[in-house]
Amino acid sequence: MSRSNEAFWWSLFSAGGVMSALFIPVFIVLSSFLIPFAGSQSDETRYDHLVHAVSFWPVRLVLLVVLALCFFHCAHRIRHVVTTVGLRISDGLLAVVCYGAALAGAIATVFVLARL
Amino acid sequence: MRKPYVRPMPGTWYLHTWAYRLFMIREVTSVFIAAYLVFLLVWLYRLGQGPEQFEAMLRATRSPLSVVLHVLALAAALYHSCTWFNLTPKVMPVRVGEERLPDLLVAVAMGYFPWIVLSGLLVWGALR
Repeated sequence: MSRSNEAFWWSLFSAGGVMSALFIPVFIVLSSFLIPFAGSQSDETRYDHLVHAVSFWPVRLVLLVVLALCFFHCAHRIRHVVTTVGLRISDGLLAVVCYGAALAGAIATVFVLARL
Repeated sequence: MRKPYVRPMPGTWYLHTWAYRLFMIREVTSVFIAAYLVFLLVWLYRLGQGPEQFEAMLRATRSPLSVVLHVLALAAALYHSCTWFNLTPKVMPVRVGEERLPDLLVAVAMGYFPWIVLSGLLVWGALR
């Protein structure tokens, strides 16, 4: 039997699916609704509070794990959507583009979090 | 040899029944989530740049176009969460002795309940 990497990609897909199910809705609510539209806090208080929160290393570690796994989850699903709708594109090229983009996202996350 | 019969497969097969459409909607949520992940990275990057840059990011986030896109992303994310929690007990059934626990109980105990607690804690932590 030929060796396949599929089990590895499916395990990243499942881990990312759990992370995205648990964290992404509340992240959207916070980053795009509650924090930008919070009227009760002054801009400075809100900024200082957020910078203080992300300066705590476990918060950054959680953000890194959640974001990196979500990137691979989406890459895997998008790869299968492209195949499912019947686009004729080489499987190998499609996998390289999807997982390559996810890897780039994970590396970008490391750099963004390191600067916080 | 005669030419073998190839069953025609229209490119729009996933629009034909509701089961296929719901499946495709679930798969396409990943496109919205991926787009949001990029947004969140920019948001965090602007947070690291300083208070003025972060305020500019929040002003852009309050724009009507951004609000519409984030409502769509939130709907997609909620659809992903619900379908994911509902499928978990089907993929990983939980047995107690010989009995298989009801799927709904497992979905609530291992999915919806931790999800709501976690979301509440994060909102409280970010806004207190």
